[in-house]
Amino acid sequence: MLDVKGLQVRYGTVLGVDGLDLHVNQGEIVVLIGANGAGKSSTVNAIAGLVRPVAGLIKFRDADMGKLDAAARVEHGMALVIEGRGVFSEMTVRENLELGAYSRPAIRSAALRRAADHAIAMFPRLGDRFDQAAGTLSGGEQQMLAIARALMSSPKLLVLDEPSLGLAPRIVDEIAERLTLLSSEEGVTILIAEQNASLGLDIAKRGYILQNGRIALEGTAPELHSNTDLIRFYLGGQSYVRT
Amino acid sequence: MDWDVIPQFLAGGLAIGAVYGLIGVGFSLIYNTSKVINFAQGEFVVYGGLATVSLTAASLPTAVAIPLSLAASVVLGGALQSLLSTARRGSNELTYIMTTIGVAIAMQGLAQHIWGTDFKTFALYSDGTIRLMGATVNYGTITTLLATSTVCALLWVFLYRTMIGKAMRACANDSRAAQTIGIRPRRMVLLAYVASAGIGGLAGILITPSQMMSYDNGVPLAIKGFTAAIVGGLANPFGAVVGGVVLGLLEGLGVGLISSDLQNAYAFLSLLVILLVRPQGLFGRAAAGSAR
Repeated sequence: MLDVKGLQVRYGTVLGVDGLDLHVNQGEIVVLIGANGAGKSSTVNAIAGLVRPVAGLIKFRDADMGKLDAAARVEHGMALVIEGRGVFSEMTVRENLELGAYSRPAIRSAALRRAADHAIAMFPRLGDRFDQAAGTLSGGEQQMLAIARALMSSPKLLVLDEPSLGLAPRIVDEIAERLTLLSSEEGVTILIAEQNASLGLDIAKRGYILQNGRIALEGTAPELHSNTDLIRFYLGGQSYVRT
Repeated sequence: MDWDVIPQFLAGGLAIGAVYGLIGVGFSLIYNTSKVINFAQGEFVVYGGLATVSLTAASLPTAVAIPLSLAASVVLGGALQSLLSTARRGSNELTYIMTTIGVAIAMQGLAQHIWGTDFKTFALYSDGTIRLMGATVNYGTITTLLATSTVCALLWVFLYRTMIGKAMRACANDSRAAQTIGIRPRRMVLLAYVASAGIGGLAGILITPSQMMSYDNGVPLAIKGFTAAIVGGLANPFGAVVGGVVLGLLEGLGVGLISSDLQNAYAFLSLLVILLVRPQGLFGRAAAGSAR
């Protein structure tokens, strides 16, 4: 479904991503694990079209994404939840969700309402906050809103950048559970970039370990799980792995 | 002192204040979507006013001349944004803002070439007046206030009730996140320029009949409009209208009570005082989110 080859992202003279290959198959949950600065955000931002890579091929659903801007990639079925959530803090939860369907101008108001109801069924606490400004939500609620908003575009591929950042373990578990359901019941393909190796590996089928902008290690989740010492090494002791 | 004259002084500043407010709305819309200040904003006011002068002089009725001028303003706004966005590639905000000042000077030169250096005017409203709370208010003021209220109402409906208006607010709130849901920030910026140019052109049409218009009015009007937007809190276009009216009223009072020689000073003195007390403006950040 998603095929990335030889991706290079450069900031001035610094290479953020240096020849990265990865692929995500239909229906999979894949996790991209790396320390701060390893190139996770650069990778997912390049996939979503927020930064322009200097080299590499990004194929999504058999189409070359190279010439498409971020908005066109959304229309093509890709949704990114950026690091730090990116909810529209001054707008209400309702408006955030409505805007999630911006890429589907033909959607009728009844369908829009159904989609919003569906998102709220997934994260019921959003329902209690429907007419509140998103900026007044807790960090966990904002992350849920960001995911729900991304789902309003009915994506085929959902990309999440550090969804567990700054959240309590209980909230992280809740989000992980929802993502698993999303994958198993609705067939949404999911790519998660995470520093917290446990969230990713607990729910993912496969994983990549990223170091200095390159893939250092890849394998199925059980393989990577059995290699926790190695992961700790690649993460530079910054993260932990629950065993 | 005779306090009975105060309402009349205030009434004198009301219309011009509303016009400052309309110009300020343009500053606010463009700032919100692109985080830059467009100092060519005042030129839209000059062109809107002077174009209507020319069209009515060519014996078109005002009911035709005004929509034509507004349409021309909108096209001008779109053209300016296309030009500026090309110039913007690879430059920072400061360079861009300097470019808008350059565009303002060029537009002023072009206006001088087209319309000459004379003050010009056209007739829009009849000379009648009404009595209101102890003041005599002329039809020009009434027309300006009605038009300004209409613009505010339409702008509110656009920003809070239409999808594209909400997308514009989303873009102002977080343009990066907006891209991830399919919004194209450059389109929103273009839209902001088009709307600002249209509203600026309308401001010109509203003041030209009472104040007259000349090719070089753009910069002082831009500065007043910018002040209105800062007083209101740049992030909130409706704050800019209130800011403009506050400025206009203070100017009216200053001119009436002290001297008309200092007309331009009152606005900036009040700006200094307001920013000392409320650095974020009257309706700055904190209130911007709840203005619905």
